[in-house]
Amino acid sequence: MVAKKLGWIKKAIGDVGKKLFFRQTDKINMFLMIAIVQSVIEEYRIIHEGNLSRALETLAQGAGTGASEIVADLIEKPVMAGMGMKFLLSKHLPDVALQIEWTLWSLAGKNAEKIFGKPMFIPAENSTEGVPEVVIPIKQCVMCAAKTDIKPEDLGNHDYFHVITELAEAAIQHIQDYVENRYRVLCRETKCFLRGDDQGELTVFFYPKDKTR
Amino acid sequence: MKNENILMRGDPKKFIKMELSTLLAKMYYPTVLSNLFLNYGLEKATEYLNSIGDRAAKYFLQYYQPKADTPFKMVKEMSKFVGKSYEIKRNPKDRTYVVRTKKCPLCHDMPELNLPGLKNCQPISGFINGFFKYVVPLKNPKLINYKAYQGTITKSVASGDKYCELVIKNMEEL
Repeated sequence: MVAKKLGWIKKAIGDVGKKLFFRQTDKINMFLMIAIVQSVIEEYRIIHEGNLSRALETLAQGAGTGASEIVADLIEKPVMAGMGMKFLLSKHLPDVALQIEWTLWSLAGKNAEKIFGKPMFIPAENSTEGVPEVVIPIKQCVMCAAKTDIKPEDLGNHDYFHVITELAEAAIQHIQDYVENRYRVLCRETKCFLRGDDQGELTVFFYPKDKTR
Repeated sequence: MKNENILMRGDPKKFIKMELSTLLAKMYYPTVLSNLFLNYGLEKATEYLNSIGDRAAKYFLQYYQPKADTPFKMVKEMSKFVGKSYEIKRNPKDRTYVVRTKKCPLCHDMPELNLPGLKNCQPISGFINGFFKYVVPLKNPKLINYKAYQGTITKSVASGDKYCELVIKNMEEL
């Protein structure tokens, strides 16, 4: 049964769990992985006759399904002392900020703190869209670092981070469905170095499902 | 942000010192494989995957200069960036290097895909070929022509083999 809200014991376990997960997971050099992703984007750009926006879209297609399947597996799979990720889930939406922080740490270890700022939960009454949000500041962007050959107009309606926002969106949506919260999750890159902003930022929006029919 | 302030976005040389879980690759990479295979067929998909690896080597070498000075040591040095479970053997008889792993980041624990003939780790061979091609202007050794090395994926876990195997041949001396 999913908890209504994460208590201090579960929060403390999550803090240890993220470190254990990163230690156990198979790893690859971060820049090499980014070089591969950027190369895939470039290959799709060539295939689509220079259209970067279409290239980003093609890469993101289906990535959400992959993310959803992996999250479904992680929820049940015992990660720490027989406990799966479901132990650290809750219906309380503000807990999502902490769960995102754990996820980033699980993926990149302590370097996650050098790349991302602390995810912040913003209740609907204080948010720009009038729905609950989680804002994730990006201090350094692994995707657009050293990218000088992309103009904002090349991106079209997509973010250069499009594949990552699609993965995040699908993963968080899967978790929200699992805990039986009725939200439609949307993730967007709300600030981007490539668009001229002085930092990057991802925002996860939680639209009530009933209002988005 | 203007291009002169590019390092404010993040320094690739610092990212080279960081590690990332292969979980992200498991989420997006199967889609790349199936997209290329289903839309363009085996031959073209293989070509695209090689090209992806080749270009990734070019990007990587813009920010990393290998310390090693022989092909064997270079392969060893580079394999550490891909994972920690690589076994590298030199075969002096036919002047090849054989790189094996059971935990290839592009195959291990990946969802099963029914794409006959396509090797998940094909970009690794493109990467090796690109690596030897682009490393020449950076670090041209006196005795060995690095350009002459060619990598081929001969076994792949995702294709049903027990391990992934990359054979690197010195094409000039064979």
